[in-house]
Amino acid sequence: MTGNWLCWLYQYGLGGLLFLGILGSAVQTRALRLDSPSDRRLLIILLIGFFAFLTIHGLWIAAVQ
Amino acid sequence: MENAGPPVTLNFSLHPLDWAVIATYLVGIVLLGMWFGKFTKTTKDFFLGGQRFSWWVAAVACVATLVGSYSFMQYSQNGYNFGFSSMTAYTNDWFVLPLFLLVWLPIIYYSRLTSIPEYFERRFDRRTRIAVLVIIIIYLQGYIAFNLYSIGLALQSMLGGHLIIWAAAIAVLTALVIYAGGATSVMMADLLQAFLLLSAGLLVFFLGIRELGGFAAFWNALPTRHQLPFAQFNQPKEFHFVGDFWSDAITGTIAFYFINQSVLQRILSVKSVREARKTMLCQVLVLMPIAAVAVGGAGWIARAMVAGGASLTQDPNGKDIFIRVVQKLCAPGVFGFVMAALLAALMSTLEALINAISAVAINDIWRPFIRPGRSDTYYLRTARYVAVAGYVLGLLLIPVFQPFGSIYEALTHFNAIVVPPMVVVIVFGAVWKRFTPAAAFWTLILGAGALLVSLFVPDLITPLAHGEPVLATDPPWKHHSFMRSLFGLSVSTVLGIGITLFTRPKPVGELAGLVMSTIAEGKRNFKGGEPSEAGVGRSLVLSMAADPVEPATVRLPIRFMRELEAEPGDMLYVADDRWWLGGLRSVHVKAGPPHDQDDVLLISPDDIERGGLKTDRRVCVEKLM
Repeated sequence: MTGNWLCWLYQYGLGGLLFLGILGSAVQTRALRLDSPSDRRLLIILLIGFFAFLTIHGLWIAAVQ
Repeated sequence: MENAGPPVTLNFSLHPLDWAVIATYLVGIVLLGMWFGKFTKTTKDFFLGGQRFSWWVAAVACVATLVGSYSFMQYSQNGYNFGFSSMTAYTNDWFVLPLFLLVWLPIIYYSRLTSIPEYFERRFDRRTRIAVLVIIIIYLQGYIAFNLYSIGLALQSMLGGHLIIWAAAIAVLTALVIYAGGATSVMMADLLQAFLLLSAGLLVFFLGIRELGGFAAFWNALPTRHQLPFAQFNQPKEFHFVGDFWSDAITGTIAFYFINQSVLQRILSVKSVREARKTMLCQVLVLMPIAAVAVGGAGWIARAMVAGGASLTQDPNGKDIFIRVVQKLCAPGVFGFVMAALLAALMSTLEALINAISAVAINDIWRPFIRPGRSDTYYLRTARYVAVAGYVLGLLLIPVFQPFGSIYEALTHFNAIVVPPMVVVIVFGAVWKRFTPAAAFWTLILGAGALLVSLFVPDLITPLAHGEPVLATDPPWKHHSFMRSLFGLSVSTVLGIGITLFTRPKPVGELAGLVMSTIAEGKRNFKGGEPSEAGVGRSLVLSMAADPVEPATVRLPIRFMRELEAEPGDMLYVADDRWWLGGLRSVHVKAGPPHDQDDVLLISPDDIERGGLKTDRRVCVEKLM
């Protein structure tokens, strides 16, 4: 069953790098403007979504094990 | 285990009540499409639904487009064989969302793109556009034929008769919806179809839970491996986590949201970038997980029933499991409802593909090359003929697919060859200003070439295969079919970077609005002036009156202009105040000089007609930018 934790790490590790990398580039190029309230709200929703999926999958694996 | 193959003949005799439900659905969907056709007046309406819809309409329609042919069959089969890990395809899109929402969406929306190949010409050059055009047409037409074939197969399996006759009958019905109204009709039909297919899938799941004696009994009956959210890391070769991650979460998701013309049309049919972002967030966070339960739930139920001693499937791989479970759980009438939902899933995807191919044919071939400079009415008429031609060609291509035992697998191989280079080119093109036209073109050509070679020399993939097992008895082209995507992405990335370093980039001045760092310029060009952030998204409701104001312009009372923080020249959206119409009756306009009369919006008769607005209704005015 440790295989499922490996999958979880792989998905949110590599996927997280991609996710955060794009967010960082967007801030740097001002495609995402932190001085705009709507952009800040969008950033927060994106981060909440990412951590929600990460947490749900983690708790799910822990519960089954 | 194969994902598809020769049909399993079920030899049902449908109850008259089931027939009645199916017939009601089919007649209803055609009438609905024809009624909504009256909102289609221009090619923009036909391809993009007039860019008028609210976010929730597009989100639900996207689900109907996504859940298509074989979704119920395939994911129920996966659910039966692999458990809850069948959901991952519907729950692993989150990583790509920043790229889509912050980069790709504003690029395509503010550039007023109507097709994907158009982006490739503006960002790179004409030869890259033509290369992409060829790939996309083959991709779409192949999928149309595949959908027609799968519809024919499904109906033939259940009811007998001839596959081509069933496929032709469905083609005629969906052609009526498309011919009548294009994207507007398809969007509204999709709305109904999405509710139908989601509710039917969930109904089957909940009926199964009840049959098993509650959720705890269902859960406890499942083997532990079926209870886990992820598949095994790298085996069996038919379905494993790492293959699914690279071929679906990364390549498949980017392909689906960035390259698939029918999804582009859904996203661009909404009234603003802000609404399009809401569409995507709702779809990925809420609707997709629900859809995952709807399409895979029957398989999980079946596994629990079989664990309890029931005998359900006649196929060793569980290909028929969805139909078997539905047959066992549903009473007459309910069975017809679920079958109508299955048809809805098939038809909505087909309609979206047909509308997409006519968009590509008109905007990328007809308008620029064959008959440039004609009236919009001419292109609209031609788009409808192309839609019909797409069906005819799809039907003619069915015999090409028939000899294959596993068409789905053939299409998966086709995707693995074509999609990775396009994914790399589109991502580099959108985020990297230095990425050159030569690199884009040769990455597409050489990347696809390398993938073709890998079909004959699969050992090329082995170093990246993460230990994926290979069956010695399989022909070489079947080896590493899951991991071919990672190979394609890696080769294309190296090619893209390498060629870029030795070739000349496009002048920065020609990239306004086409790459991540120039989105602000694109926004400015879209508005025709400096965008105003103040008051964006704020809306007010007031009465409306026809007035000889300049077309595409409205005049608001001074007080309302102040409340919206709007200035003359700002972009506004005027819609019927009934929210549940989802923007069906609406129009984009600019703010004109304010007036000091009563609380009334002054609008030209042309714009009232264009937006399908009713003068006896109040309107909601929203500031867009």
